[in-house]
Amino acid sequence: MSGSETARATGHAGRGASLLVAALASAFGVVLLETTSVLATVVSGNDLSQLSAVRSALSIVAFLFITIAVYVSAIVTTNTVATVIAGRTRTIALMRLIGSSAGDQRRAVALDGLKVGLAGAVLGAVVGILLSFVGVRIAFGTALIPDLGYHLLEPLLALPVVIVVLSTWCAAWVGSRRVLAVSPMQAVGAAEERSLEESTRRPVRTVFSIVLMATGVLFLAGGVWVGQVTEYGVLLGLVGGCSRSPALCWGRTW
Amino acid sequence: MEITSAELGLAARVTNLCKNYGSATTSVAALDDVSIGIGRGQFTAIMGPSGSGKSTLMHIMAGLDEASSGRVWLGETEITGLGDSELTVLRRRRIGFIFQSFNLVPTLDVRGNITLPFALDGRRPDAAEKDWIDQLTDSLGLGDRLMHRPHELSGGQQQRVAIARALATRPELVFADEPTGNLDSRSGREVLTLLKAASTGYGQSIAMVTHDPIAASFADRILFLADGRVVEDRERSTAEEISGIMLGMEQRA
Repeated sequence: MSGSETARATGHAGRGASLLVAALASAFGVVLLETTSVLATVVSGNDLSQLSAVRSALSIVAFLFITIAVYVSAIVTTNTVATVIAGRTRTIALMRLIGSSAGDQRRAVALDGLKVGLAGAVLGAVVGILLSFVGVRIAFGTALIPDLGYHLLEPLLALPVVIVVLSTWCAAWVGSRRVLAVSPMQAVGAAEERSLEESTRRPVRTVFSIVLMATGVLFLAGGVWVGQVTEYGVLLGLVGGCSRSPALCWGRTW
Repeated sequence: MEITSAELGLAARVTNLCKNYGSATTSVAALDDVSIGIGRGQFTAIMGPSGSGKSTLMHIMAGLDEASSGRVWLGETEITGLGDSELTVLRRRRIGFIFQSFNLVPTLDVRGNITLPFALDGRRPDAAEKDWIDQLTDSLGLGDRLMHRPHELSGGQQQRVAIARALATRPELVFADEPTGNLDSRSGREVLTLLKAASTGYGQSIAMVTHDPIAASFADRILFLADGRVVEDRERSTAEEISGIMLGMEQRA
């Protein structure tokens, strides 16, 4: 089926929010990497042997913040998509009624997510690089940092862009799960029996979110403990923190 | 050997259809052992007071709802127990829908709405289908409205677009659910005349659910439902006769 036709029919509401969030996450990631690179160059000064050690330490910090940014943007996008779908239930039901499959309807939403992710990430990256150039210029001008020949265009900058595209696409796919629950009967305005999803209490999800929550707490505790010995303990804490939030979101309907 | 729908000259039929809502203790029977056939090329009206089960019957025949027991055929295909994806393709290619609330896609123009069933099928109308669509839009008086959006049209015009959409794929059976319910009496009569013309002119099979005796008087055959059962089966009747039957049903109830 032509995805464009469905997309045109179901509209593009919610694109703005997702685009902005993807662009922000991407810009944030790019600026963070640029800052890391500049800081590493400044701290190690002219002693190039120091450069890689400083870089790796700063990279951990940058990685942490980028993960958090991407994570938050993915959650926002998932919820935006789910909300938009809730508002378009009638149109989706009508398309289903006339003979569009649930899969086609969902793919149209996910494809839109991929496009928005791509546009947002590239836009954000461009803004991020511009900001970095301007920032470094200003820092020069005010003699805040010495002129050490900074490399502001690195292949590494593609990393946050790729991550944001993938996470937005993924988030749109997860958020579009709701499309599958729309029944064509919703378009005829008839009284309906409760759908299976509404009437069951979704025990699998409940168990899953409890497990996720417990794992999250364990990782957080582990992060604190390992953190006494090595700075990489913070990574454990990050995993713990990330797994607790979806546990809260998914389990909210207990 | 089972009797086929074609031998009976039927576009669709149901046998021993029952539909219960609610759980065992609070069960309500919306349909109670209904067996009917919709004649090919005929304009059939399904009448009954609200709550008589006429909409439920239509939904089950169109593959939108599942029966509690009984069997359903569309043409030669038994659709009882078909999965969602098969029913989706069936609705797309073999059934047309006309609703009380028009149900046009607001973001598509008239042409987009009429060709939507083809777009959902992942193809463009071929030359013969294009001719047919042109013929339809002309006879429905939509020729100069093709670039308009639904909100720019009157109720009667919107319903005519919906009729064009339902007829565009030349489906085996068109279901019309209270097609005049949202229209003033003049545009309502216009829409009914068009449905009647589609049936006599192109041999289109139509099943119309309604509780309006005037709408039913346009049909070739009228089935009366009350409390989930078929209580009368009449050939073409006048609005007065239909009203009389309806009143009689009310008084007996």
